[in-house]
Amino acid sequence: MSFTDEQLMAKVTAGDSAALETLYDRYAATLLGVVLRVVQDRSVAEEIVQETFWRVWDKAASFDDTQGKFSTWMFSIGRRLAIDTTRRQKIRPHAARNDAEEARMLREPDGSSVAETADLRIEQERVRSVLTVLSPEQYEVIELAYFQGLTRQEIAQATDTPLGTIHTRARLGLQKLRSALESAGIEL
Amino acid sequence: MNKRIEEELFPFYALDALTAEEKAEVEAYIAADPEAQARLVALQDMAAQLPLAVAPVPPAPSVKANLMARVQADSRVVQPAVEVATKPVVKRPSPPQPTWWDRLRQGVAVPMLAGTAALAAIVLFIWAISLNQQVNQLQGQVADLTSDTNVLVENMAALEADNDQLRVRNEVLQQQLQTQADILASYQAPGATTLALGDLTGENPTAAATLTVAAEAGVATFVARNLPPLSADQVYQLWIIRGDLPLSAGIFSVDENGRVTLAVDAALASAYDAVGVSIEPAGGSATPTPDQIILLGAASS
Repeated sequence: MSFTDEQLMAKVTAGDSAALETLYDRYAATLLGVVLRVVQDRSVAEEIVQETFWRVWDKAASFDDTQGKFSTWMFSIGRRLAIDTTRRQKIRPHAARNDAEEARMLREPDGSSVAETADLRIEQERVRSVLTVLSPEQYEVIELAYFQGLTRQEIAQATDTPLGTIHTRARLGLQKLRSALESAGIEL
Repeated sequence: MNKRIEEELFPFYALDALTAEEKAEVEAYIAADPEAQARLVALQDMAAQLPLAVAPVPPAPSVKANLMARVQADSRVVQPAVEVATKPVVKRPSPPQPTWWDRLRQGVAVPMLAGTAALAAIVLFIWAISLNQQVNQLQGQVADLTSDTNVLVENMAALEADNDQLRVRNEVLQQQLQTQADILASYQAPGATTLALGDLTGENPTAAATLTVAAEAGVATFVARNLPPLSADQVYQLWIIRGDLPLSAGIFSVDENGRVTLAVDAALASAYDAVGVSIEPAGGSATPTPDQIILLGAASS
Protein backbone atom coordinates (compact mmCIF):
# COMPACT_ATOMS: atom_id res chain seq x y z
CA MET A 1 0.00 0.00 0.00
CA SER A 2 1.32 3.43 -0.92
CA PHE A 3 0.79 6.34 1.49
CA THR A 4 0.69 9.98 0.55
CA ASP A 5 3.36 12.27 1.93
CA GLU A 6 0.89 13.76 4.36
CA GLN A 7 -0.26 10.34 5.61
CA LEU A 8 3.36 9.39 6.16
CA MET A 9 3.93 12.61 8.07
CA ALA A 10 1.05 11.68 10.37
CA LYS A 11 2.85 8.44 11.08
CA VAL A 12 6.14 10.25 11.62
CA THR A 13 4.41 12.53 14.09
CA ALA A 14 3.34 9.43 15.99
CA GLY A 15 6.95 8.21 16.13
CA ASP A 16 6.95 5.80 13.18
CA SER A 17 10.55 5.72 11.93
CA ALA A 18 9.62 3.50 8.97
CA ALA A 19 7.40 6.29 7.65
CA LEU A 20 10.35 8.68 7.83
CA GLU A 21 12.45 6.14 5.96
CA THR A 22 9.83 6.00 3.21
CA LEU A 23 9.84 9.78 2.89
CA TYR A 24 13.63 9.73 2.79
CA ASP A 25 13.63 7.17 0.00
CA ARG A 26 11.08 9.25 -1.86
CA TYR A 27 12.82 12.63 -1.68
CA ALA A 28 16.46 12.34 -0.54
CA ALA A 29 17.90 12.22 -4.06
CA THR A 30 15.90 15.23 -5.21
CA LEU A 31 16.81 17.15 -2.07
CA LEU A 32 20.49 16.35 -2.50
CA GLY A 33 20.26 17.67 -6.06
CA VAL A 34 18.77 20.92 -4.78
CA VAL A 35 21.25 21.31 -1.92
CA LEU A 36 24.19 20.56 -4.20
CA ARG A 37 23.14 23.45 -6.40
CA VAL A 38 23.59 25.73 -3.41
CA VAL A 39 26.63 24.42 -1.54
CA GLN A 40 28.44 22.71 -4.44
CA ASP A 41 30.19 20.33 -2.06
CA ARG A 42 28.92 16.79 -1.89
CA SER A 43 29.96 15.92 1.66
CA VAL A 44 28.49 19.15 3.02
CA ALA A 45 25.34 18.63 0.95
CA GLU A 46 24.87 15.10 2.30
CA GLU A 47 25.19 16.39 5.86
CA ILE A 48 22.50 18.93 5.09
CA VAL A 49 20.23 16.22 3.67
CA GLN A 50 20.67 14.19 6.84
CA GLU A 51 20.01 17.24 9.01
CA THR A 52 16.93 18.13 6.96
CA PHE A 53 15.33 14.73 7.50
CA TRP A 54 16.30 14.82 11.15
CA ARG A 55 14.38 18.08 11.42
CA VAL A 56 11.46 16.50 9.59
CA TRP A 57 11.48 13.87 12.31
CA ASP A 58 12.16 16.29 15.15
CA LYS A 59 9.69 18.98 14.05
CA ALA A 60 7.03 16.70 12.57
CA ALA A 61 4.41 17.98 14.98
CA SER A 62 4.84 21.49 13.62
CA PHE A 63 3.99 20.40 10.07
CA ASP A 64 0.46 21.38 9.12
CA ASP A 65 -0.80 19.83 5.89
CA THR A 66 -3.51 22.47 5.66
CA GLN A 67 -0.82 25.11 5.17
CA GLY A 68 0.98 23.39 2.32
CA LYS A 69 2.46 20.23 0.92
CA PHE A 70 5.06 18.18 2.76
CA SER A 71 7.52 18.44 -0.11
CA THR A 72 7.34 22.24 -0.06
CA TRP A 73 7.98 22.27 3.68
CA MET A 74 10.82 19.76 3.48
CA PHE A 75 12.56 21.42 0.51
CA SER A 76 12.26 24.75 2.29
CA ILE A 77 14.08 23.36 5.32
CA GLY A 78 16.85 21.84 3.23
CA ARG A 79 17.26 24.81 0.97
CA ARG A 80 17.41 27.24 3.88
CA LEU A 81 20.01 25.09 5.66
CA ALA A 82 22.08 25.04 2.48
CA ILE A 83 21.89 28.79 1.97
CA ASP A 84 22.73 29.46 5.62
CA THR A 85 25.69 27.12 5.38
CA THR A 86 26.96 28.88 2.28
CA ARG A 87 26.59 32.28 3.89
CA ARG A 88 28.36 31.11 7.04
CA GLN A 89 31.23 29.82 4.94
CA LYS A 90 31.20 33.15 3.10
CA ILE A 91 31.16 31.33 -0.23
CA ARG A 92 29.54 33.56 -2.74
CA PRO A 93 27.75 31.48 -5.34
CA HIS A 94 28.53 31.96 -8.99
CA ALA A 95 26.14 33.85 -11.20
CA ALA A 96 24.49 31.33 -13.47
CA ARG A 97 24.67 33.49 -16.57
CA ASN A 98 28.44 33.22 -16.51
CA ASP A 99 28.39 29.48 -16.42
CA ALA A 100 26.53 27.58 -19.10
CA GLU A 101 27.21 24.34 -17.23
CA GLU A 102 25.25 25.66 -14.28
CA ALA A 103 22.24 26.29 -16.44
CA ARG A 104 22.38 22.83 -17.94
CA MET A 105 22.49 21.29 -14.45
CA LEU A 106 19.12 22.79 -13.73
CA ARG A 107 17.46 22.47 -17.09
CA GLU A 108 18.59 19.06 -18.19
CA PRO A 109 17.96 15.76 -16.45
CA ASP A 110 20.96 13.74 -15.35
CA GLY A 111 20.68 10.42 -17.11
CA SER A 112 22.61 8.62 -14.40
CA SER A 113 20.20 9.61 -11.64
CA VAL A 114 16.83 8.13 -10.84
CA ALA A 115 14.01 9.39 -8.71
CA GLU A 116 12.77 7.21 -5.93
CA THR A 117 9.36 6.77 -7.43
CA ALA A 118 8.10 6.68 -10.98
CA ASP A 119 5.47 9.31 -10.31
CA LEU A 120 8.02 11.73 -8.92
CA ARG A 121 10.35 11.10 -11.82
CA ILE A 122 7.62 11.77 -14.36
CA GLU A 123 6.71 15.00 -12.61
CA GLN A 124 10.36 16.05 -12.53
CA GLU A 125 10.66 15.53 -16.26
CA ARG A 126 7.57 17.61 -16.86
CA VAL A 127 8.80 20.46 -14.67
CA ARG A 128 12.18 20.47 -16.40
CA SER A 129 10.53 20.69 -19.78
CA VAL A 130 8.31 23.51 -18.57
CA LEU A 131 11.33 25.55 -17.45
CA THR A 132 12.42 25.87 -21.04
CA VAL A 133 9.66 28.43 -21.60
CA LEU A 134 11.67 30.96 -19.60
CA SER A 135 14.03 33.32 -21.33
CA PRO A 136 17.66 33.00 -20.20
CA GLU A 137 17.36 36.29 -18.31
CA GLN A 138 14.18 35.26 -16.49
CA TYR A 139 15.66 31.89 -15.71
CA GLU A 140 18.79 33.52 -14.33
CA VAL A 141 16.88 35.66 -11.84
CA ILE A 142 14.87 32.68 -10.58
CA GLU A 143 18.00 30.55 -10.36
CA LEU A 144 19.94 33.13 -8.36
CA ALA A 145 17.03 33.86 -6.03
CA TYR A 146 15.77 30.36 -5.34
CA PHE A 147 18.85 28.19 -5.63
CA GLN A 148 21.56 30.62 -4.62
CA GLY A 149 19.58 32.54 -2.02
CA LEU A 150 20.46 35.99 -3.35
CA THR A 151 18.22 38.90 -2.56
CA ARG A 152 16.86 41.01 -5.41
CA GLN A 153 19.44 43.71 -4.66
CA GLU A 154 22.25 41.15 -4.73
CA ILE A 155 20.96 39.77 -8.01
CA ALA A 156 20.93 43.26 -9.54
CA GLN A 157 24.51 43.75 -8.40
CA ALA A 158 25.70 40.31 -9.48
CA THR A 159 24.20 40.64 -12.95
CA ASP A 160 24.91 44.36 -13.32
CA THR A 161 21.26 44.94 -14.12
CA PRO A 162 18.90 47.67 -12.86
CA LEU A 163 16.75 46.59 -9.93
CA GLY A 164 13.56 47.43 -11.84
CA THR A 165 14.58 45.04 -14.61
CA ILE A 166 15.18 42.32 -12.05
CA HIS A 167 11.65 42.87 -10.70
CA THR A 168 10.18 42.60 -14.17
CA ARG A 169 12.11 39.45 -15.04
CA ALA A 170 11.09 37.74 -11.81
CA ARG A 171 7.42 38.71 -12.15
CA LEU A 172 7.09 37.81 -15.82
CA GLY A 173 9.15 34.67 -15.36
CA LEU A 174 6.90 33.38 -12.62
CA GLN A 175 3.79 34.29 -14.61
CA LYS A 176 5.11 32.41 -17.62
CA LEU A 177 6.07 29.49 -15.43
CA ARG A 178 2.61 29.35 -13.90
CA SER A 179 0.94 29.32 -17.27
CA ALA A 180 3.27 26.60 -18.56
CA LEU A 181 2.85 24.44 -15.46
CA GLU A 182 -0.91 24.65 -15.72
CA SER A 183 -0.79 23.86 -19.44
CA ALA A 184 1.33 20.80 -18.64
CA GLY A 185 -1.31 19.68 -16.16
CA ILE A 186 1.00 19.94 -13.16
CA GLU A 187 -0.95 20.35 -9.98
CA LEU A 188 -0.02 23.48 -8.03
CA MET B 1 -3.92 46.59 -4.01
CA ASN B 2 -0.37 47.73 -3.32
CA LYS B 3 1.25 47.43 -6.73
CA ARG B 4 4.78 47.93 -5.45
CA ILE B 5 4.54 45.13 -2.91
CA GLU B 6 2.79 42.70 -5.21
CA GLU B 7 4.89 43.30 -8.30
CA GLU B 8 8.27 43.83 -6.68
CA LEU B 9 8.20 41.84 -3.47
CA PHE B 10 5.70 39.01 -4.01
CA PRO B 11 7.85 37.15 -6.57
CA PHE B 12 10.87 37.23 -4.28
CA TYR B 13 8.78 36.31 -1.24
CA ALA B 14 7.64 33.23 -3.18
CA LEU B 15 11.26 32.49 -4.04
CA ASP B 16 12.19 32.98 -0.37
CA ALA B 17 14.73 35.64 -1.30
CA LEU B 18 13.66 38.74 0.64
CA THR B 19 15.45 40.41 3.49
CA ALA B 20 13.86 40.06 6.93
CA GLU B 21 12.48 43.61 6.74
CA GLU B 22 10.96 43.08 3.31
CA LYS B 23 9.46 39.80 4.42
CA ALA B 24 7.87 41.48 7.42
CA GLU B 25 6.43 44.17 5.16
CA VAL B 26 4.83 41.55 2.90
CA GLU B 27 3.40 39.60 5.83
CA ALA B 28 1.90 42.73 7.33
CA TYR B 29 0.33 43.53 3.97
CA ILE B 30 -1.26 40.11 3.39
CA ALA B 31 -2.48 39.92 6.96
CA ALA B 32 -4.85 42.72 6.11
CA ASP B 33 -5.82 41.51 2.65
CA PRO B 34 -6.96 37.86 2.21
CA GLU B 35 -7.16 38.24 -1.57
CA ALA B 36 -3.55 39.38 -1.72
CA GLN B 37 -2.64 36.45 0.51
CA ALA B 38 -4.29 34.07 -1.96
CA ARG B 39 -2.32 35.60 -4.81
CA LEU B 40 0.91 35.15 -2.86
CA VAL B 41 0.09 31.53 -2.00
CA ALA B 42 -0.44 30.84 -5.70
CA LEU B 43 3.04 32.17 -6.42
CA GLN B 44 4.49 30.08 -3.59
CA ASP B 45 2.84 26.92 -4.91
CA MET B 46 4.46 27.55 -8.24
CA ALA B 47 7.90 28.17 -6.74
CA ALA B 48 7.49 24.91 -4.83
CA GLN B 49 7.82 23.09 -8.15
CA LEU B 50 11.35 24.39 -8.73
CA PRO B 51 13.16 21.68 -6.73
CA LEU B 52 11.70 19.13 -9.11
CA ALA B 53 13.59 20.78 -11.95
CA VAL B 54 16.91 19.71 -10.48
CA ALA B 55 18.39 16.38 -11.48
CA PRO B 56 18.21 14.02 -8.49
CA VAL B 57 21.49 12.85 -6.96
CA PRO B 58 21.23 9.73 -4.80
CA PRO B 59 23.00 10.26 -1.45
CA ALA B 60 25.57 7.78 -0.18
CA PRO B 61 23.98 4.91 1.80
CA SER B 62 25.75 6.14 4.93
CA VAL B 63 23.58 9.27 4.97
CA LYS B 64 20.43 7.24 5.44
CA ALA B 65 22.17 4.85 7.84
CA ASN B 66 23.34 7.73 10.04
CA LEU B 67 19.92 9.38 9.95
CA MET B 68 18.07 6.23 10.92
CA ALA B 69 20.59 5.44 13.65
CA ARG B 70 19.99 8.92 15.05
CA VAL B 71 16.23 8.42 14.84
CA GLN B 72 16.36 4.98 16.44
CA ALA B 73 18.32 6.45 19.34
CA ASP B 74 15.56 9.00 19.89
CA SER B 75 13.25 8.24 22.78
CA ARG B 76 10.19 9.18 20.73
CA VAL B 77 10.54 6.37 18.24
CA VAL B 78 7.73 3.82 18.35
CA GLN B 79 8.22 0.18 17.40
CA PRO B 80 6.85 -0.66 13.93
CA ALA B 81 4.24 -3.09 15.27
CA VAL B 82 2.27 -0.24 16.81
CA GLU B 83 -0.61 0.82 14.57
CA VAL B 84 -0.85 4.57 14.22
CA ALA B 85 -3.44 6.93 12.89
CA THR B 86 -3.03 8.42 9.42
CA LYS B 87 -3.87 11.94 10.58
CA PRO B 88 -1.51 13.95 12.73
CA VAL B 89 -1.92 12.94 16.32
CA VAL B 90 0.49 14.51 18.73
CA LYS B 91 1.18 11.76 21.24
CA ARG B 92 4.47 12.84 22.60
CA PRO B 93 5.72 13.36 25.14
CA SER B 94 3.80 10.51 26.73
CA PRO B 95 3.32 10.55 30.50
CA PRO B 96 5.68 8.26 32.44
CA GLN B 97 4.23 4.80 32.93
CA PRO B 98 4.34 3.27 36.44
CA THR B 99 6.97 0.58 36.78
CA TRP B 100 6.26 -2.90 38.17
CA TRP B 101 7.90 -1.75 41.38
CA ASP B 102 5.49 1.15 41.63
CA ARG B 103 2.57 -1.22 41.24
CA LEU B 104 4.07 -3.57 43.78
CA ARG B 105 4.44 -0.77 46.27
CA GLN B 106 0.85 0.18 45.74
CA GLY B 107 -0.14 -3.34 46.76
CA VAL B 108 -1.77 -4.15 43.46
CA ALA B 109 0.61 -6.94 42.55
CA VAL B 110 0.86 -8.72 45.90
CA PRO B 111 -2.23 -10.96 45.58
CA MET B 112 -1.18 -11.89 42.07
CA LEU B 113 2.44 -12.75 42.89
CA ALA B 114 2.09 -16.56 42.92
CA GLY B 115 0.05 -16.56 39.72
CA THR B 116 2.52 -14.22 38.10
CA ALA B 117 5.41 -16.55 38.96
CA ALA B 118 3.61 -19.53 37.43
CA LEU B 119 2.76 -17.50 34.36
CA ALA B 120 6.37 -16.39 34.08
CA ALA B 121 7.50 -20.03 34.22
CA ILE B 122 5.12 -20.94 31.39
CA VAL B 123 6.24 -17.99 29.33
CA LEU B 124 9.88 -18.94 29.87
CA PHE B 125 9.12 -22.53 28.91
CA ILE B 126 7.43 -21.45 25.68
CA TRP B 127 10.23 -19.03 25.00
CA ALA B 128 12.80 -21.80 25.46
CA ILE B 129 10.94 -23.99 22.96
CA SER B 130 10.79 -21.13 20.53
CA LEU B 131 14.50 -20.48 20.92
CA ASN B 132 15.24 -24.15 20.38
CA GLN B 133 13.23 -24.09 17.16
CA GLN B 134 15.08 -21.01 15.99
CA VAL B 135 18.42 -22.69 16.76
CA ASN B 136 17.36 -25.73 14.74
CA GLN B 137 16.30 -23.53 11.84
CA LEU B 138 19.58 -21.65 11.93
CA GLN B 139 21.55 -24.90 12.04
CA GLY B 140 19.63 -26.06 8.98
CA GLN B 141 20.40 -22.83 7.20
CA VAL B 142 24.09 -23.15 8.10
CA ALA B 143 24.11 -26.72 6.72
CA ASP B 144 22.49 -25.51 3.49
CA LEU B 145 24.97 -22.68 3.16
CA THR B 146 27.88 -25.07 3.80
CA SER B 147 26.59 -27.37 1.08
CA ASP B 148 26.20 -24.44 -1.31
CA THR B 149 29.71 -23.31 -0.48
CA ASN B 150 31.12 -26.76 -1.25
CA VAL B 151 29.37 -26.77 -4.62
CA LEU B 152 30.75 -23.34 -5.37
CA VAL B 153 34.27 -24.45 -4.42
CA GLU B 154 33.95 -27.44 -6.75
CA ASN B 155 32.66 -25.26 -9.54
CA MET B 156 35.51 -22.84 -9.00
CA ALA B 157 38.07 -25.68 -9.20
CA ALA B 158 36.52 -26.86 -12.48
CA LEU B 159 36.58 -23.31 -13.83
CA GLU B 160 40.21 -22.93 -12.85
CA ALA B 161 41.04 -26.16 -14.69
CA ASP B 162 39.16 -24.90 -17.75
CA ASN B 163 41.02 -21.65 -17.44
CA ASP B 164 44.38 -23.46 -17.44
CA GLN B 165 43.39 -25.37 -20.57
CA LEU B 166 42.30 -22.17 -22.25
CA ARG B 167 45.54 -20.49 -21.29
CA VAL B 168 47.56 -23.33 -22.88
CA ARG B 169 45.35 -23.25 -25.97
CA ASN B 170 45.82 -19.50 -26.14
CA GLU B 171 49.60 -19.89 -26.06
CA VAL B 172 49.42 -22.41 -28.90
CA LEU B 173 47.22 -20.09 -30.91
CA GLN B 174 49.56 -17.19 -30.21
CA GLN B 175 52.45 -19.25 -31.54
CA GLN B 176 50.45 -20.18 -34.62
CA LEU B 177 49.51 -16.58 -35.10
CA GLN B 178 53.15 -15.56 -34.87
CA THR B 179 54.05 -18.24 -37.41
CA GLN B 180 51.38 -16.99 -39.76
CA ALA B 181 52.68 -13.47 -39.29
CA ASP B 182 56.19 -14.65 -40.12
CA ILE B 183 54.92 -16.38 -43.24
CA LEU B 184 53.05 -13.30 -44.30
CA ALA B 185 56.14 -11.21 -43.71
CA SER B 186 58.21 -13.56 -45.83
CA TYR B 187 55.69 -13.37 -48.65
CA GLN B 188 55.78 -9.59 -48.51
CA ALA B 189 59.55 -9.25 -48.16
CA PRO B 190 61.37 -7.62 -51.11
CA GLY B 191 62.85 -10.19 -53.47
CA ALA B 192 60.91 -13.09 -51.98
CA THR B 193 60.43 -16.09 -54.24
CA THR B 194 57.92 -18.89 -54.02
CA LEU B 195 58.27 -22.34 -55.53
CA ALA B 196 55.22 -24.52 -55.94
CA LEU B 197 55.52 -28.29 -55.40
CA GLY B 198 53.01 -30.71 -56.95
CA ASP B 199 52.05 -34.36 -56.75
CA LEU B 200 54.68 -36.51 -58.44
CA THR B 201 53.10 -39.96 -58.26
CA GLY B 202 49.54 -39.16 -59.26
CA GLU B 203 48.30 -40.91 -56.12
CA ASN B 204 47.68 -37.68 -54.18
CA PRO B 205 46.41 -35.17 -56.75
CA THR B 206 45.25 -32.66 -54.15
CA ALA B 207 48.54 -32.65 -52.28
CA ALA B 208 50.53 -29.46 -52.81
CA ALA B 209 53.15 -27.30 -51.13
CA THR B 210 55.08 -24.06 -51.46
CA LEU B 211 58.51 -22.97 -50.39
CA THR B 212 58.85 -19.24 -49.95
CA VAL B 213 62.31 -17.79 -49.49
CA ALA B 214 63.04 -14.21 -48.52
CA ALA B 215 66.78 -14.27 -48.62
CA GLU B 216 67.33 -10.65 -47.57
CA ALA B 217 65.06 -11.11 -44.57
CA GLY B 218 66.65 -14.46 -43.78
CA VAL B 219 63.29 -16.21 -43.74
CA ALA B 220 62.19 -19.38 -45.55
CA THR B 221 58.87 -21.10 -45.02
CA PHE B 222 57.54 -24.37 -46.30
CA VAL B 223 53.78 -24.88 -46.31
CA ALA B 224 52.05 -28.11 -47.39
CA ARG B 225 48.43 -29.23 -47.50
CA ASN B 226 46.46 -32.40 -48.23
CA LEU B 227 49.41 -34.70 -47.59
CA PRO B 228 48.23 -38.24 -46.75
CA PRO B 229 48.59 -39.49 -43.18
CA LEU B 230 51.59 -41.65 -42.38
CA SER B 231 52.10 -44.65 -40.13
CA ALA B 232 53.84 -44.13 -36.79
CA ASP B 233 57.18 -45.35 -38.15
CA GLN B 234 57.23 -42.90 -41.05
CA VAL B 235 57.99 -39.17 -41.48
CA TYR B 236 58.01 -36.69 -44.31
CA GLN B 237 61.37 -35.22 -45.29
CA LEU B 238 61.98 -32.00 -47.20
CA TRP B 239 64.85 -31.89 -49.67
CA ILE B 240 66.71 -28.98 -51.24
CA ILE B 241 68.18 -30.37 -54.43
CA ARG B 242 71.19 -28.67 -56.01
CA GLY B 243 72.18 -30.40 -59.25
CA ASP B 244 72.21 -34.06 -58.29
CA LEU B 245 72.86 -33.36 -54.63
CA PRO B 246 69.83 -33.63 -52.29
CA LEU B 247 70.25 -31.76 -48.99
CA SER B 248 67.88 -32.50 -46.11
CA ALA B 249 65.94 -29.45 -44.95
CA GLY B 250 64.18 -31.27 -42.11
CA ILE B 251 61.65 -33.94 -41.28
CA PHE B 252 58.04 -33.25 -40.36
CA SER B 253 54.62 -34.71 -39.79
CA VAL B 254 51.24 -33.27 -40.73
CA ASP B 255 48.04 -32.58 -38.82
CA GLU B 256 44.73 -34.36 -39.32
CA ASN B 257 44.07 -32.21 -42.38
CA GLY B 258 47.37 -33.03 -43.97
CA ARG B 259 48.74 -29.55 -43.27
CA VAL B 260 52.13 -28.40 -42.04
CA THR B 261 54.01 -25.13 -41.81
CA LEU B 262 57.73 -25.40 -41.43
CA ALA B 263 60.44 -22.81 -40.93
CA VAL B 264 63.39 -23.72 -43.15
CA ASP B 265 67.01 -22.66 -42.92
CA ALA B 266 66.98 -19.62 -45.22
CA ALA B 267 70.64 -20.02 -46.22
CA LEU B 268 70.01 -23.61 -47.27
CA ALA B 269 66.80 -22.75 -49.13
CA SER B 270 68.21 -19.71 -50.90
CA ALA B 271 69.71 -21.75 -53.75
CA TYR B 272 68.17 -24.85 -55.34
CA ASP B 273 67.43 -26.51 -58.65
CA ALA B 274 64.50 -28.46 -57.27
CA VAL B 275 62.70 -29.06 -53.98
CA GLY B 276 61.09 -32.36 -53.05
CA VAL B 277 59.25 -34.14 -50.26
CA SER B 278 59.69 -37.86 -49.63
CA ILE B 279 58.32 -40.42 -47.21
CA GLU B 280 61.10 -41.82 -45.06
CA PRO B 281 61.51 -44.09 -42.04
CA ALA B 282 61.20 -42.39 -38.65
CA GLY B 283 64.23 -40.26 -38.01
CA GLY B 284 64.72 -39.45 -41.68
CA SER B 285 67.27 -40.58 -44.26
CA ALA B 286 70.59 -39.32 -45.57
CA THR B 287 69.25 -39.34 -49.13
CA PRO B 288 65.69 -39.53 -50.40
CA THR B 289 64.29 -43.01 -51.05
CA PRO B 290 63.82 -42.89 -54.87
CA ASP B 291 60.33 -44.30 -55.20
CA GLN B 292 59.05 -42.45 -52.14
CA ILE B 293 59.25 -38.87 -53.47
CA ILE B 294 55.62 -37.64 -53.55
CA LEU B 295 55.99 -33.86 -54.12
CA LEU B 296 58.42 -32.11 -56.39
CA GLY B 297 58.98 -28.63 -57.73
CA ALA B 298 61.76 -27.46 -60.04
CA ALA B 299 63.20 -23.97 -60.27
CA SER B 300 62.58 -22.33 -63.60
CA SER B 301 65.76 -21.88 -65.59
